[in-house]
Amino acid sequence: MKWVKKFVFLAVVASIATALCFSANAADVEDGQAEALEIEEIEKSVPQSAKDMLGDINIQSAEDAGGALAAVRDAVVGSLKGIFGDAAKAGLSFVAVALLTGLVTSICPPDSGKYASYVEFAGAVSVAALAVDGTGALMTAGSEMIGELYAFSKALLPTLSAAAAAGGAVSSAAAQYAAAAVFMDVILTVETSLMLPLVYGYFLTSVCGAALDNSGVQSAAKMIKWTAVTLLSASVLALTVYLMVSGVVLGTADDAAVKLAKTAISTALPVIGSIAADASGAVVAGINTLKNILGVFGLIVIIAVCAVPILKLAAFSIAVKVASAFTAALGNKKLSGAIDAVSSAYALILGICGSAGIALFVSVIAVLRTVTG
Amino acid sequence: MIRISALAVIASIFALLLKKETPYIAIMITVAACCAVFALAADIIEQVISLTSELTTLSGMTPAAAAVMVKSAGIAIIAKFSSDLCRDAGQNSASSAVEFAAAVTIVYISIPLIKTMLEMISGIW
Repeated sequence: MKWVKKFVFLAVVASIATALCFSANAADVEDGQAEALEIEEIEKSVPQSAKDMLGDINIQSAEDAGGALAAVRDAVVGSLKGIFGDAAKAGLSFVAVALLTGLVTSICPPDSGKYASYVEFAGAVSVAALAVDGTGALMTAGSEMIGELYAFSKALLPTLSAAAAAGGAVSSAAAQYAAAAVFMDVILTVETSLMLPLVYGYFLTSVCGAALDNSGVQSAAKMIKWTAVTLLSASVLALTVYLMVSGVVLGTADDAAVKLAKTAISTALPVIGSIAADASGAVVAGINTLKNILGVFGLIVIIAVCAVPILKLAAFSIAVKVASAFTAALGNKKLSGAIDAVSSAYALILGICGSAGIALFVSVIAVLRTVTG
Repeated sequence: MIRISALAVIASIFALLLKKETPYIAIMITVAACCAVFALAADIIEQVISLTSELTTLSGMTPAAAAVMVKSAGIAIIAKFSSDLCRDAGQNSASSAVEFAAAVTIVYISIPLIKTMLEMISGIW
């Protein structure tokens, strides 16, 4: 009878233990992962300009990326008329100044060279006055765009990196997050304290050089432009190279570490070791899916934030460039040089804003590409 | 334009004929012809000034800059004709003095524009 009692006892214990063992629900695992990564904070940090374009966007919207991008496209197409209208007005203003200067110069007697130079000087100062207003407005729009990207990156990048790290890419995710965070800080500081004065300095020295026909001043303007372009190009290139190299080197190490961990689990735990290793793989696959959805969401928001300001800057730069070409065709080379400098200043602002958008874009893609087996 | 050209040519011929005998009358004929030409061109000048003010409004240019432009042109025209008349009368020193006065006047009226430029630069920094 002793063995009957033992058998009954073991049966009861086995039944109780079995009843207590429930398999995890996939949806509950996903919700738990989303809560742990604080996904709601990212949804709250979406900039207002993106919300105006995309409506009440959330992480699930990223599953329909085509629909979200179509919304961005529709918003951009809708604002094209206004943007090109404003750009055309700006270009026409410069053309009107050139026409007025040409008209007044033509009235001056043929051999009154030194008097005509004062008329052209007045024209160049008018171009500078018009450009200062325009540049200030565009610089404000660009600064707002960079500020929104910066604030959004503060929420997106840590969560994305945490998801990548939870998926096994511990070293590479940390390195890439550090690089992206530092770069966004640097670009915000450089843009406000260095690039803005450089842009104004460039176009004022260009306008003065064109008005006074002084090659020394024009060379100084070219030097300022070269400095600004080199700073921007070097910083974006440095970030891209660093992300690429850290992704390859550290990603390989993370991949090896994950495989080693799975092997260790399989061999350390008898019978259930391989089951546990496979289960961990399923959880990692789940978090990688969440990371990809987060990344796509982030990319859509970045595109929505950058689309209209960059299009506006490009339109203004092109319109003023056309005005400069028209002025050159009228025969007024001094004024054409001054207006061309304004177009280049707008292009510099476009470069500053574009580099911030590209930096964040590249950072998100670098994290998305971290996949461990 | 035909009337203006005809008037200028006829006045020049008369001035040339009288220059040897009575040079002072010749120069007075020249001055009178210049005034008549300006009077005949007044309508055209008014149209041009109207166009410049329209272009000033269209471009959004500051009135100060437009004023400097137009005044510079006016000073250049007056200085040119005055100095040429003085040379025709054989008074080269008077001609040079007129040109000098015109240059100084243009610099003087450009002072507000230069100040505007300096204020723009200092406002940025």
